[in-house]
Amino acid sequence: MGSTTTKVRQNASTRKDTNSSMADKKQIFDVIVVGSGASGGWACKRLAEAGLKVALLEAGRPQSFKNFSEHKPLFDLKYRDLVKSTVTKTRPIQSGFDICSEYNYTWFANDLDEPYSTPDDKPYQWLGRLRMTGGRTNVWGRVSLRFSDFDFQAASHDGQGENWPITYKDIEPYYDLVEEYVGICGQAEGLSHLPDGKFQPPMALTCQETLLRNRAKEKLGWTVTPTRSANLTRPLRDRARCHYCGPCERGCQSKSYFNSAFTTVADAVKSGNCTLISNAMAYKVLMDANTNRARGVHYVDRNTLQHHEISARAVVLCAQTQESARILLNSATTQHPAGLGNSSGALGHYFTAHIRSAGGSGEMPAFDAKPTLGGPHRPVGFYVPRFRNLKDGPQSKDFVRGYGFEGDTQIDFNWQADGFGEAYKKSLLEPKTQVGVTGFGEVLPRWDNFVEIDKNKVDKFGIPVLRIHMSNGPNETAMLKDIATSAGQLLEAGGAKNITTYNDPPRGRWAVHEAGIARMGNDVKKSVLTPFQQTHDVKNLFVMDASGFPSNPCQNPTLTIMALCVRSCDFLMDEMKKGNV
Amino acid sequence: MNSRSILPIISQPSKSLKGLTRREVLQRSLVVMGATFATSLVAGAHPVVRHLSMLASAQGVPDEANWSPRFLNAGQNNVLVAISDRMLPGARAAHVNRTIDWVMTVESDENRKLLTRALASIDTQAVKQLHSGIAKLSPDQVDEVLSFCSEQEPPHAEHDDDSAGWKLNQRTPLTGAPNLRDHFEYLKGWIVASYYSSEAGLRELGWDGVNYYESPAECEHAEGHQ
Repeated sequence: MGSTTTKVRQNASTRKDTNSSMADKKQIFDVIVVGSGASGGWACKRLAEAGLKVALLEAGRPQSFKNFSEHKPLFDLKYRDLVKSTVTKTRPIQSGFDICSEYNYTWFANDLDEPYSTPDDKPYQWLGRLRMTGGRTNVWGRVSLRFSDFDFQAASHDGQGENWPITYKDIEPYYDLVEEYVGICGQAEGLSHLPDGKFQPPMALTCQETLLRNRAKEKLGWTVTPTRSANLTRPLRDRARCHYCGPCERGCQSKSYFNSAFTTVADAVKSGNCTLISNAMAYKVLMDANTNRARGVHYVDRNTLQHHEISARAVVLCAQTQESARILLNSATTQHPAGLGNSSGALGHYFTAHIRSAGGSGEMPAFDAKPTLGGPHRPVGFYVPRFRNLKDGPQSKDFVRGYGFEGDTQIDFNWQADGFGEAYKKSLLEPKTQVGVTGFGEVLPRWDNFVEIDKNKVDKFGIPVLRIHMSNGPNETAMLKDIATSAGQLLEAGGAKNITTYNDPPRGRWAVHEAGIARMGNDVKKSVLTPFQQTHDVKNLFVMDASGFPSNPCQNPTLTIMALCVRSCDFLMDEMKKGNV
Repeated sequence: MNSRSILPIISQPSKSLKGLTRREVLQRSLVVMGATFATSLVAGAHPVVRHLSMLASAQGVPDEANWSPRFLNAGQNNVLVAISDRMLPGARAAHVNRTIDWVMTVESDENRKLLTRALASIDTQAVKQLHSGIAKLSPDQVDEVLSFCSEQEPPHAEHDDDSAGWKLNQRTPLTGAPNLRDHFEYLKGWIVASYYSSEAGLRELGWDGVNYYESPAECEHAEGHQ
């Protein structure tokens, strides 16, 4: 990121000019993009490379290769990642994300500085709040799956919720564009409900996974495919192919996984048209009451706590689903008393995520393999596309929609060996071949899953925080039960022994795949955004993260977030050319 | 996973950090360091190789010549050294006691108490069993004490519901006062984690410092898997 950091305009804390509020007001950008993650990166790249002057507000610090630690062995780490309190002291919530460790926890929001609230009976872990350029793409799981018309028209199949106001044909060219830039490895399977993409070669399945794939197809008719993932298996531009070191969530010196910090954001900055403003906590969108247009963004410098305003012809929020909703709700004015874009009253409602608190594991044959730390580590495993409630298949009596499984194989050491001394060391080397699967299930959008501004709490920066109301409904409860059952069926079909399944709904574990809150639609009375993610109420205000999803299909959402964002940016630029924005 | 629970952290099916045992925390870290089939091939052309040659040196556990414990007292340290080297031969050379002492400087009060209580309990057992503190026993005698401790039944039980033919994880929390087996397992958790996060321990498990591989492990069974 050398080229990125040299062109980054440092925030007010690093400049001598402390009267930067005035300085900010001097320049009027074409577009302000809030957030530099998957969607924000694409928005600033698409707009800046087209010649628009873009200000990119990022709540976190600049990312740098010197922060990456994927090759650092445990003994070079201060506390060897053995002391939980080093992480939990300041990240008691973020540490619930299993990739938040001593290696990278400072990339995550300090939960004490940036709280939120929930009702006592509805605990919700808001995980994956990154505070680095690149946002969640620094640590994401990289699973990249397309949605289909079956997903976009799901309400027509089962009567639940609303259809999407777009079709697969609308988004398909943008999927192609994004996949070819990001670099997705995967295998075509010819499934209509999980469309194939522009894939780089897949990463190979292990022996155990090959066995599982063959038997699952033969006995259950289910597909087991190498995970479609944003990891390069072929070089792409200045990015090298994966070198199989393992922990992508600590960064990648060779840029082999997709991280917007060294791809889309770097491209945008390189264009000379994008100004990255780091450590900028967006507070609210500023409105011109006379024209009913957004005129800029009010943000707080996280180092100096000074307040700033920045101006533009259009504002694009890509701050992450809940964060974008928070900004809109905090932007209430006399003319928009319930928050910007909220004339429908739908803003904040229909909040969804993926349930992921059910699955299973079992022991598979080792096929003569021995556990060792001296070998390649594939960064992804396998995926089992949705098989329940398909259009032409049998329908469950207990729930609608469906789920997919993410899984992988580990030939691990026998860490639970009994005893001590040389006998323990010998037992430790006995291979434990485990195949594990976790279900990722669709959560129906419901009015009573919502976020609002907590009137009694502000964060360290004085910005009112969210109160999140999120719980399982009967559909999710029934789905979780089925996930545990089908995990067992899958593993049994694959020949696994000592199968253990789990279904743990009380823990409220949600995947970091939030969506909804500001849903798209053609009906201004029922939706917040147009099909191009433009607010119905304010024509130069867009929300291009997952907030606009009318539903949250079980496939991982990031690829669709990026594709929709590019599509909406093209619309925005057309509207600007026409003088409509 | 059907792992046995170890004081003080109970295994949970959902892998939040708070739910991991000490060995599971280590396991999580090691899983991403290596894998299953040792087929490393270093290729100078890949950009990461240049980076790897410039990696910074160690900055972890202090390794000064005149080391003295920061958290443990001298007696506790001697007990820990005696136990750790019999628990895992090589632990003394890998300075496992120093690692544990170091991390205890930032550990919670609860874990500090559990550690010192475990050391004291096993030392007391040595006196009771062999009339001497464990630090003064021969290696065989230390083994005798550790064997006694490791053969005690933990005072807690697991509960597995049967669901759809598979065991559904429903672990119950540990109840009752910890016994010698719990103290043994607690110390073992720390010693195993500290040893196998050291360079010596990692190398024993096959780690060779190589972070570049041409390809992931692939199935080499021509007959396939049906």
